[in-house]
Amino acid sequence: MSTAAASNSRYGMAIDLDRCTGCGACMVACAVENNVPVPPPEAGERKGITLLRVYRAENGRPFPEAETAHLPIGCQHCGEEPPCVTVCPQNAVEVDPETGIVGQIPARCLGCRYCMAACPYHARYFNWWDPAWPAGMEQALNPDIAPRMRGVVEKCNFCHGRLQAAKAKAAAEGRSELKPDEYVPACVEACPARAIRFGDLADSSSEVARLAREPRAFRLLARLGTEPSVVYLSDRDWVRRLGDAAGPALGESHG
Amino acid sequence: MTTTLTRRDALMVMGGSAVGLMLSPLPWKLLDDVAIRTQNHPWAVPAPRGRQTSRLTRCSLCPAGCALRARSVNGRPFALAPVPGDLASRGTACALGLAAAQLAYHPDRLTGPVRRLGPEWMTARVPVAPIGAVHLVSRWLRETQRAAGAEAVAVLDGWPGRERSLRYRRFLASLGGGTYVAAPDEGAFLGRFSGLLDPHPGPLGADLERAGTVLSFGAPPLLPRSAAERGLTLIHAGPRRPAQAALADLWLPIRPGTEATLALALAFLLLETPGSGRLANLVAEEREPLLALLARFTPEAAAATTGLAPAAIRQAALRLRAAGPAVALAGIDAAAGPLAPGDEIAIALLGVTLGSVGRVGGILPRAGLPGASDGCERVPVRDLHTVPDGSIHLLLLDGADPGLALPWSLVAPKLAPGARLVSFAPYLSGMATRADLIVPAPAPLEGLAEIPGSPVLAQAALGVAAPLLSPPPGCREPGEFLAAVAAATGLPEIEAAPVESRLRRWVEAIHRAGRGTVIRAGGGEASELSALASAADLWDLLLAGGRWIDASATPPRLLPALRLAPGLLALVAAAAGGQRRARPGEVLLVPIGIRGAVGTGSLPPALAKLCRESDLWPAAGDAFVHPDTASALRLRDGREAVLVTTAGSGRARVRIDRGAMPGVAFVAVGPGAAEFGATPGAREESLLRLCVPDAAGIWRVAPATLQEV
Repeated sequence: MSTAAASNSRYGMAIDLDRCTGCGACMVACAVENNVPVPPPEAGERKGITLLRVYRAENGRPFPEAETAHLPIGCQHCGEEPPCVTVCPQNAVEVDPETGIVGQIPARCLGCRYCMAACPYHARYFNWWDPAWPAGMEQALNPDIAPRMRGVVEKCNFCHGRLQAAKAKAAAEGRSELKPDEYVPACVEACPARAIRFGDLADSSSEVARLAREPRAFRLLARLGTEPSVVYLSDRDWVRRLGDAAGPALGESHG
Repeated sequence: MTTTLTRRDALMVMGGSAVGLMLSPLPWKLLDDVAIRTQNHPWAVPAPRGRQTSRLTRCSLCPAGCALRARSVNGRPFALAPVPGDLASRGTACALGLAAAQLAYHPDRLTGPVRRLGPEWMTARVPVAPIGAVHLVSRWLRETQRAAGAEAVAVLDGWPGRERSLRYRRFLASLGGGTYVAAPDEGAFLGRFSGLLDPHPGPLGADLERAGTVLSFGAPPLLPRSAAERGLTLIHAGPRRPAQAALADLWLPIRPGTEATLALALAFLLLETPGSGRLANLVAEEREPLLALLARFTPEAAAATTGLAPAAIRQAALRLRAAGPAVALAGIDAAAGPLAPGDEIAIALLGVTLGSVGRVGGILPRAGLPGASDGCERVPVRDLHTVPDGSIHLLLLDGADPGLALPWSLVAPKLAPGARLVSFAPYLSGMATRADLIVPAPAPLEGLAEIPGSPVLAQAALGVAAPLLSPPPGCREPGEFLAAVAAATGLPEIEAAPVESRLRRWVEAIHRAGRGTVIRAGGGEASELSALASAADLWDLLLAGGRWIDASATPPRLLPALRLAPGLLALVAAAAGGQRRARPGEVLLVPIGIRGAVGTGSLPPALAKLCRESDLWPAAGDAFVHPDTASALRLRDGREAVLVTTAGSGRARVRIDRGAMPGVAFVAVGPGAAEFGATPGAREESLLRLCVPDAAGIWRVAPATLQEV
């Protein structure tokens, strides 16, 4: 498998929902990697920043046939006219043609939140507060990621800092291509169930591309034609149907 | 020609200018600059700059001891990640371990000894100089010895089996015999199992590396990653599927407190198989009464008690037979604790029926950690419920938090009026909030720590977590503190050597024993220990995130038999027939929680965030009930309700959950993430206090009323 960041790459994920146990390791790894602070207690459960959020869904059957599935949902990195790119008046959202990653540029963001309204996956979050950490912990933040200020929108960027670091390392070693698995986002690295796979969807021989072709693969809200780079996998019909469900089917109270 | 400017012209010019300005880059550039400027507030927290390093270590938060890669900036670790090449953990780590680098900065973190002012209900504390803390404990020690003798001095060890545990016992031995109490851990069931066998096989362990099927009652053990990858079948029996059993192959949803019934029914079915005469060979005494007891537990009879269909019980028995070797284990739930003794004996009986005792892939004698023999026989290990009520005058609380709950209602009755509590917790949380004096130990990553393997496994193991941070100057390793107390009290000298030199002695003993394998965290195959030239090499390997695993246990030549004294059989019968039922209008309260989030410690900030912003982990204070139960009790989702047991009352938030067993309220316990950062010690107490321990110290189920406020 080649994960080269060459032109025409399209990084993507394949998330096996039948393996995900909802342990939360991906959410924690994401928050640590991206210097996401704990919001103040008055934030409530909806105003915090969760670049990757694992939702819990139920099949609606009574005990003991009740089943649960966990859906990790972050930015879907739409391949076809991402709605957030279209609406941004500041060009603060850009698609990297080399990688297909939809990037957010906080320095340009005005905080108008059009992108949040436009995103059909509710995968964008607004910084309501200045970031703050317990005393002393600011010295133990990820040095590769600048904390974002209040008033800007942010979202998953497939740990872009890791991509840059991997590229820099490859360049330092005189390589133009990245080695397999040299660049993986923090959530992929952290998943103990190996439910999240990452790679180049444009490389038909890659594992993630192979998984995306499986009959049990589906995309969220495929009918919108946004062509997400995140593919979900499940053998369970009721889980696959979640891909076309509106927000409440995932359970607003279960977010 | 004169030009006349009308008011209309002026307005047109102004309007045109306004429109033109909007079409020019000027306002947008202004907005852009404002946006950029807001990104550079002078009070903004900048990311630290400095030299980045990376090293391998092991997580010291639980016996799994997963390999971690720690990335640091300026010597401060900022991120931990699993190590894919590690043969032991196979590149896995839990959410708690991944956030462990933040634990040192928790708002509850104590940086030096503090003493409470006034009685227990007061929360004000004042700093105490380290030497002052030594003299204070020394004085309390002398007073206790004079008033009630050495037995009145007790240590409650949160994680028995560590080097620190030996230090506690040596300290108590120097007093002439204090009381050493071990908090319940996963090894308790196998300890009881061993006590039932004749000849006594010593410590036992489950050979999960080679087992085909594991039937777990209560939370399943930490399965070796290799076993899971090999395709080990996991069957879980319990009223709720815990997180560890999320990927179990089969779940047997039994009513709370009916574990013994299911175990006996499965044993009955296994014995029913033609040609299966194993029980006759393996049970030494009370064979006939036992067979008579088992005959009562037909699948149909057990179904009425457990709530399972008879076919489901038969199917489970078939799977146990099909995918052998099979092991039946009684686990310990993070919040609900261990199973009752009668349940554990019934599960041991099922294990005997399965033929798992003394078999590869079954239950085998477990060799201890070389060098870790304590030589402290004068201070035996005791369970908390065996300590007489009101007998402890000075209680030393170990600060280790292996992630399991221990209700205060189990500890409180053991204390004499006016008893003093000294805690070694790094944080002002959990039981430490009740302590008269807290002498904080180093937090995770701050101190050198050993990680003995899971006491459930047949192979002993050892890892070492290297210190990645310097502890605050006021923190002290409990063993060294107690050595200072002993010196100040005039007790026989106990060793005050630092942790490293004592752990090095363990490693030397392991190297001398010469058995087992070592694995390097960075990858590569496991290699024989004997290939390492010296103990120093082994120490270096462990310090770099390696792990030593003992050789696979070999089956004993003489298979031990189960010896059930008449009293024990009655205990089994009582456990199997004594299902706790709720009266009309009541529910059965079953505490639930995730390992690591229910104990005495504090949640790292990133994990507190996860708990607050998602419901992946049950939020402390939530009561999950089935819709039918909610309807019968007139409860509505999200509303506050009063939960009342014989131990008291508390407020809970009702969560209607279709997956909950009818008639049961699963109440999430533990430190609440919502209070993260609140004034230390001022938090609401966990609903665990509503669980009522019985005479055997079991608090799994309690009848309760739940009424909406």
